[in-house]
Amino acid sequence: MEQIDQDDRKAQLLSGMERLKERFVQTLPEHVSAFDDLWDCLAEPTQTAAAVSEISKLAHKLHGQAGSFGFPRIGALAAQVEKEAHVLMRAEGDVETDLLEELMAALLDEIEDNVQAE
Amino acid sequence: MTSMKLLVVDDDPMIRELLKEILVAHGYQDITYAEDGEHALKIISREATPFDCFMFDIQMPNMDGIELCRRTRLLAHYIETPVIMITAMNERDYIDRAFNAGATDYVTKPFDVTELISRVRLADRLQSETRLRQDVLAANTAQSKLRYSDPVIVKDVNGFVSQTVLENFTKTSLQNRTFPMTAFGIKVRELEVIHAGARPDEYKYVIADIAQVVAETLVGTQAFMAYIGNGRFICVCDRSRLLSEDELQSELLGVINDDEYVWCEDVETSFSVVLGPRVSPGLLERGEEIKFVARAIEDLDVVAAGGEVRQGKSIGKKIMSVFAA
Repeated sequence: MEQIDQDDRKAQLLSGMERLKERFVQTLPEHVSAFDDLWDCLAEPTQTAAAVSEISKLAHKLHGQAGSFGFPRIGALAAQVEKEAHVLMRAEGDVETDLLEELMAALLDEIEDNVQAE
Repeated sequence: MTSMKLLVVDDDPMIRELLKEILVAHGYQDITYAEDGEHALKIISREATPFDCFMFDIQMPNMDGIELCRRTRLLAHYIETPVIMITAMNERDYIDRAFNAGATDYVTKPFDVTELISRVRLADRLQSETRLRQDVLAANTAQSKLRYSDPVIVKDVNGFVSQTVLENFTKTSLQNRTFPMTAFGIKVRELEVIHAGARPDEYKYVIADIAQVVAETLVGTQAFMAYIGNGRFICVCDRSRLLSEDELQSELLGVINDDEYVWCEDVETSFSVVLGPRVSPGLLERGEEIKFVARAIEDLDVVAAGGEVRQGKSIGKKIMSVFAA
């Protein structure tokens, strides 16, 4: 009886995770669009700091979600974007965003590959 | 099915749903969710039946999980309730601050379901033990006086936590390789006399005074400490920032005997300090990483009893002894 309960729960967990994974994939285009908008803001000196801060928040959220829903590579790339955004947020004066943009490009490529594959 | 009542706080609805799926599938049904710290505090204050365990995301807008944990600990009912912190970050600063604010344990996103559930089950066990202890104390006032061997949770002294939290902190810090760690014990023998002759509250005040001295002496070493009973304190800290044994002994002895810092109204006594040897995590203890904390306590007991601690051979010596044989 207990074994049946455990099996039921395991099946329930797997189906729940699958459902959440599908929902997560559906949110990915929104993430891409949000990153694109922020990317445009990076080039505007008056908006760079705010854009970097938003990129950090978005990447943080994606980092936490992606790995948990079975997309470790997206999670790892989001973590790198978040880390670089933090470095820039601590920097003083004009910031150099080349590395951040490179990492964002890699992240967006990975997201697109995954959206197409799903 | 378990009856543990949980409050999960995370600003990300997808993560809240994920936690719900995982927890419900493992038999945890009584779960309340909050989307930020303010919302959580409102729920906590209005809940008639207290929560048994909290899970707080660290990085949330406005009030972060660390501040939420600190405020929750100020509530009389939740001084010992397990608090598991959740974060996508593994940074040392977050870990230190979370444990300092009263966190019991720590899990990282992305979640490993097995790891997450083992943390929740540990919290469940801790809470059951706490409740049992409180029930026994409430049922029999004759037993409400602490035994000398009982640990005491020192409140409001920076870095002082329960032994379980200290072990969780140590494990997490070792996994993240945050700093070169060492553990050592401190024994203050006169606490036995104070335990025998002072009122229970006074005994606890003296322990808190000594804890304050220990914490201040170890300031800057990232120390986490616990009072574990029988006059013993256990400390885990960054060995590269620690004073030499002689300096530490002399500093502790001087301050602990200053009435400004440690004072017992009921029993007049001076204090002695026995320092246990410093024990670092063994390279061959993978999977049993926190064993060195237990060894530090054993070594303190040996030294305090007047014995000599058997020095372990280094790996080099062990290899050489094999060749020599």
